[in-house]
Parts: sequence; structure tokens; C-alpha cells
Amino acid sequence: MFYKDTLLKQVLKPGRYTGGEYGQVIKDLSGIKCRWAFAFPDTYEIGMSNLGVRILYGVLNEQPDVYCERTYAPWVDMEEQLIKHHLPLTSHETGTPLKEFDILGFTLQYELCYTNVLNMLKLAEIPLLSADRGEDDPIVIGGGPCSYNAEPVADFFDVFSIGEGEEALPEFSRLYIKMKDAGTYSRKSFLHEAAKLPGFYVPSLYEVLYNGDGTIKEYRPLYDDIPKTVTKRIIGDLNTAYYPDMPVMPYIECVQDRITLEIMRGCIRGCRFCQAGMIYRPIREKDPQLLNEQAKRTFENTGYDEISLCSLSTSDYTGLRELTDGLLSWTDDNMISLTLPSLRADSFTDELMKKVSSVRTTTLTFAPEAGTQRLRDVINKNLTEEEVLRACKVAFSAGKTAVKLYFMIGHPTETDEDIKGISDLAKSVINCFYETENRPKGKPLVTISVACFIPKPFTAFQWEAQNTLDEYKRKQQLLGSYCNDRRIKYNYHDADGSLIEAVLARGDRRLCKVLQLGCERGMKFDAWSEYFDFDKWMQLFTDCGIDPAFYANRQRNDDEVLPWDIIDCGVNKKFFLSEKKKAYEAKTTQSCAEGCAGCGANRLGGDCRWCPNIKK
Amino acid sequence: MVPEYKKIRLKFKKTGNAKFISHLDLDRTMKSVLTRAKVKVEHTHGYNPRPYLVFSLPTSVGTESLCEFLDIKIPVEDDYKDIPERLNKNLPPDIRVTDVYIPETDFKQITDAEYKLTVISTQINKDLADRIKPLFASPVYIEKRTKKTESGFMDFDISPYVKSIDAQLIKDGELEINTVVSAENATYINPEYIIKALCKYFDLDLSDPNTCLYTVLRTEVYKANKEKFI
Repeated sequence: MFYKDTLLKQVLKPGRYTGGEYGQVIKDLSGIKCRWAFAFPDTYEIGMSNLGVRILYGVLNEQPDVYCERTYAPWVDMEEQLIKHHLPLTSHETGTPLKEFDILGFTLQYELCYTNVLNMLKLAEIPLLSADRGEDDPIVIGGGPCSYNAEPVADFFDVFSIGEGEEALPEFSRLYIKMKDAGTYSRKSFLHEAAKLPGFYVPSLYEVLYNGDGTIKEYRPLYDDIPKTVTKRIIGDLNTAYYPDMPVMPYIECVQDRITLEIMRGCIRGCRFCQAGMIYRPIREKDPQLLNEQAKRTFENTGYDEISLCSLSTSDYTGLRELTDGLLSWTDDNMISLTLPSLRADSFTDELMKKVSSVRTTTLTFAPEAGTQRLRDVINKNLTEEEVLRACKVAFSAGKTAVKLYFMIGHPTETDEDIKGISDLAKSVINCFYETENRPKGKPLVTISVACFIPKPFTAFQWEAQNTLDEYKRKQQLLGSYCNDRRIKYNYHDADGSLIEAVLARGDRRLCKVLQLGCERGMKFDAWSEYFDFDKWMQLFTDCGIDPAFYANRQRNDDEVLPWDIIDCGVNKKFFLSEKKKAYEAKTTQSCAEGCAGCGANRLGGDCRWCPNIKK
Repeated sequence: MVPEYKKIRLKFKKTGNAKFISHLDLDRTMKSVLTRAKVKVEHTHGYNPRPYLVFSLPTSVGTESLCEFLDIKIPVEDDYKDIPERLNKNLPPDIRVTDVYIPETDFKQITDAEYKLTVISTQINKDLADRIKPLFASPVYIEKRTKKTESGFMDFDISPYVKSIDAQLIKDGELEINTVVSAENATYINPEYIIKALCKYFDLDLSDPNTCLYTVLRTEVYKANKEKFI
């Protein structure tokens, strides 16, 4: 006899593992032909906060013969118990071991979660390598932003879903059921058929050839009927897309315990360092009236007291005034607060400030990203110092004394002058406080939070060398020496993690052995500073004969075959190259609102007011 | 015009998975459930208005209960008879509201609580069961967290606060204990202390999920003179 209670009493937060939450989907298994386990490779509190998981959980469970359950990475105390008592990792809803599912899906949100993916496979007693899995093992599928270059984990996945999954995953499930019903299913034949569905990438069906210098020569499909590149999937009309208005309500407090209202996908800005701004193109907005109805329905279903508008750049949403007016007509009476993250300084107005501060206020954060105008033009941030100061003035005159500014160091072409510019800008903000006539009493506080730039696939900077660790540390110290004002609080990220992330972000399949060895050595939770161990990573690279600098600190040629060339994200390589050239010349590119820059994403279709000649 | 409110008391049980919800999380859960059920409650009047909820005698994580109380304030003109039904539609299945009424007592009047403990282990036999009641006739020391000592722990004699205890062998390997312990503020006894004491004095190990289990269920709450608290 096994007593789950006894197990749960040995761990710190049993609420992470109980299941049974309000809103969880329970189905009669007798009518189910395809069982999914949807895994989030981090803790329950983080996974439950993810909007994508909420959407896909709902979309899959809308199918009467498909049942999708949830599972999360067990925290180390739970893992210890599982190993001690020889228990496999199970699903939340029914407590079924993961290895008994038909399909096991992982969402890949950040590179440092890769060690957790492998650790979860190990705890689930599923063979790590796709090649080692048998007919009884689940099909392991990955998706999410990291799947745009999932080569460092290609050996561990049977298939990747590229792009938006609302339509793709139900299609994938239908194919599975169809082949099972027809008796034509085998792992091999199913994966071959799946590779022919739009937006599915089966890494084992491509052979990778390398040049003598270690760069990639070519990706060769093993069969003629397999596409040479896999084009990402998008949802054409977000207004008709599934919206999770009845999410599972966690018992324990999660990172994002609120209604997340996705107002648009994509971003009209073309920041040259930003991957999200490119891979979510073309820009598609949702109707403000529909959003208002969905928010109200979700409120009635959940009882949450906070609504957060979610997009890459909230203030660029053309229906923002109508939407916020509509929401505020009923949220105040119900004591619901409205938060608007991702606001751009250039579109931050008095009117918006009033809306944000109704009921409860939130911290104001702006992201100039670079300290000087020249460098902001290089990264195409399209934001001037005047605009930043004007936005801060609005905040100060509304009674704020503290603002937070985000920056990155290590952008291409950066000089020490640009580093100094960060502290200069912070000082200007302090002066701006004293110049504000109706400022509140007290001293201002400007927090500058400085991250290390990580070049990412599908950006204008995908060919760039990352600064070395020594260079990052020198720049961090240099900036610290400039921040000698007590009204400036200077925070910076550890550069070590940024190097590992850079290696994995632009890595190729040869990194799989690094991750496999890392799994054997028990690595996990690398996105958590208390578990991230830089020396362990460096030892792994040495033991596998991999030079991390080849991936992180090497300037690539324009014509080099990149590991992610196998994926078509919609935006053309030609566009990225021209953006790279313009960056070197410190020339900006207009936003989609000002005119089409010709990125090419509109050929994927989608209902968007900005894109010309769009397919309807 | 300031609206007028009346206090009502909800009696509820929390069993199954819900026993692992901490008191803070129960507070959060109840807030959202009241909103979902459209039960209007008085809010605090501060900068961050919060619904005004008062729970009696929180259970510790892992303890099930058949008698939990929650006091809320609703507008005087509102009917409250249908509130349990409305809440139950919106609660997770392991929390059920069983009664609602205008309270005549105060949570401060609570003196004792009754629990049913079940212990399953291959180490359980008649001899052990028979030794439990006599054990509590003399001092029973357990390690308790404290801020008073350097080590952060102190030995604490729980026997004066265990008002009654009866152990019964259900079958070999399974034991049931009924106990009444102090629930007053200063001398509150967590029923897990009794399990702790059994482990210490009888060398029980209840940590293997493949063979062992103990459960704690609060069955009743009392005020002075052993009268049921309502």
C-alpha cells in the first residue's frame, strides 16, 4: 500500500503536489484515446502562472477524446523522497506515472530549464534519448520560445511544435488518434507523418553535416517528403482563438496570481536584440470589446482581484484607451486593480498614469536598454532621453518618488562612453525629480537594473560575439564606479549565467552530450541562483571537449549556416542582415505603425492592421 | 451613507487535498470563493481594501477538520441562508461549508479541541496501543521550537494539556486515538505533538510512504465546561 500523504508530509510545500484544485479538468478515462501530460520544467508556482500552459491545457481538453493533465518539476526535497522510495514522477490530476502517457509535452521557456527537462525525464523513468525510446514510451514533444533553436536538446525530443500551438497541438493529437485507430501507428511512422504537418520539426529526420572548422555545412532531410525548413504556425485571428476564462485556481500562492489578459501578439517595434519581438510577428491585436468581455467572464469564474494586460508593448496596442475605459467601468466597483506591464516611456501619459493608479498603484519601470542615444539607435530602441525624462516627470507629478530603469550592457559597438551614459541618464532622472513642480516630498530613488546582453537566434544580432566574462565584469565595475550617488540604486545580473545561456541559445546538436552528462551528474534548477553552479558547467564543457567560446564569443560570418536555419520564423534572414548593417551605422528602422519595414512575417497571414498586402 | 453590516458565521470542513493548504492560502482561497459566489462582504478601509475574514483556530498543514469556523460581515439587509450552497458551488471539492448562522459566541471562548488520530505501521500492535494512555499520566517531553534557547529548541511537557486520550487497536498495524487537547492561546497543543511523542517514546518511524501513514482529524471544538463551541 502506498500512502501519498506520508510522502507529502516530508516536503516543505505539499500544496505544490496535491492536485485537486478548483477548475482542474477530470475526465472519464474510458472515452479517452490520447492522453497528454503537459510538463512545465520548473516549480508549480512558476508553471501555474504561465498563460501559454493555461491556453494549451484548455485547448487540448476541449477535445472530447483527448485528456491533458499537468506536471511540474518537483522541488529538490520532493525529488529526494521520490528517489528514496523508488517512486516515478506522476501527473497532477490522476497521479499517473508520466511514462504511461501517450504524449509528454514540455514547454521550453528559457534555456536554463534544459537540465530540468532531462531531470524530469530521468525521474519519470523515460529514456533520455529519443533514439532509445520504445513503442511503449510516450512521444516527447517540445514547444515554446526555445524551440526556435532547440538543437542543444534535439536528441532528447521526438518532435518540436514550432510557433503557436492552439491549432497545431489538437491537429497533432488527431493524427495520433487516427493512426492508432487505423492500426498504422508505430513511433517511426507517426513521427514521419507528424513531420509533414505544418509547424512540426522532427530532429531525427535530419542529418547534420559539419565543416572542418566546426561550423555547420548543411541540414539534410533523410526523406524526400520531409520539408527542408519548418515554418512556424500562427493563429490568424486572435479574436476567435481559445481564451482560458476558467483557469485552474492554485491552492498555494503562485508567481502570477491574477487574470492575464493577452491583448496582442507580436510587437511593432524592431529592437535588434529582442527575439520575442521577431518570433511573435506578425502583429495581431485583439478587439477591445471582446477582451473586456473575456476579462469580466474570467473575473466571475476566478474571483481574482487583479487584471494584468499582457503583450510585448502594452502602450502600442491601438485599442488601449477603449479597453482600459471599458475595464475601469467595472473593476473599481469590484476592487480589482489593473496593472499594465511593458509600458514604453514614449507613450506614457498622465491619462495612463491615472488609470494605473486607480485602486492600487504599481511600481513604474521603463526600459531605455542603453545609456546613450547613439547606442539606443544601434539597438533600434527608438527612444530619446527627453521621452524617458518626460515619462518620469509624469510619474513624479503623480506622487511617485521611485522609478526603475532597465538596461543591458554588452550591446554590439558598445564603448565605455555608453556605460557612463547609463549613470548619466540615471542622474538626469534625479534632476528631473527636482525640476518637477508638484513633486512629492522626500528624496527620489532611481533603481537601475543592468543585465548582460545575450545574442539570440532570429534577431539582427544573431551573428554577434557576446562580450567575454572578463569584459562583462570590467564593465559592471566601471558602471559601479560611476554610480556614486546614494539616490541611485545599482543592481546587476551575474555574468556567469549569461554565458551559459548564450552557449545554449545559439548552440547546435553537439551540446546534447553536455546536457546528458549534466543530467548524469544531477544538475537541475539552473535558473535558480542557489542551484546554478558555473564551475560545474565549465567542467562539463571540458569533459565533453566543447569550447563555450565557439558558441558565445565568436563573431559569425553572414553566410554561415546557422543551427536555426532549419526553422522559418516568418521574418526573413535578408531583413536581419540589413538590420545588422543599419545597427553598425547607428541608423534606426521605423516601427510597423510608421510604415512597413519589410520583415516578411506578413506572408504567414494573420489579421493585422499594420501589415500591407496581408493575406485575408 | 455608511452601509451597515452584520456578522455571520460559516462552519466548514476541509479534508483530503485541502488539508495541505496553509492558513494563509486558505484565506486567499476563501476570498476568491466569496467573490466567485458573489457574496458581498465588508472590506477593510485601508489603502489596500481586503475582505474582512476571521478564522477560528487555524489547523496546521496536514490536519483535516470537520469543524472550522469563518466569520464574515455582510450587509444587514442581505439574506444568508443560501450562502453555503453558493459557496459550495465555487469551492474545491475538499472544502465544504456545512452551516451558516448568526454567532452568539466569540472565538476567544474556545478552550479545547478534539481530534481523531489514525496511525498505520507494521510496528503497531496491542501492546503498544495499551501503553499510550498510561504514557500521558506522567510528563511527556517533546522538542518544540522556541526563540528562548540558543539551539532554537526546548523540551516541552505536553501531558498537562492533553485533557483526555484513548487509544484503540483497530487491527494489527492500525491504531485509532481519540484525544481532547488544549486549544487556548497560551497552551495550544498541535495534535502532531502527540504523534511526535509516540515516535519518540515507542521508537516509531512513520516516514516510509510505502508502509506508514498517520492522519489527524479535528472532530470538535469546545468552550468552558466541555460545552460544544458553536
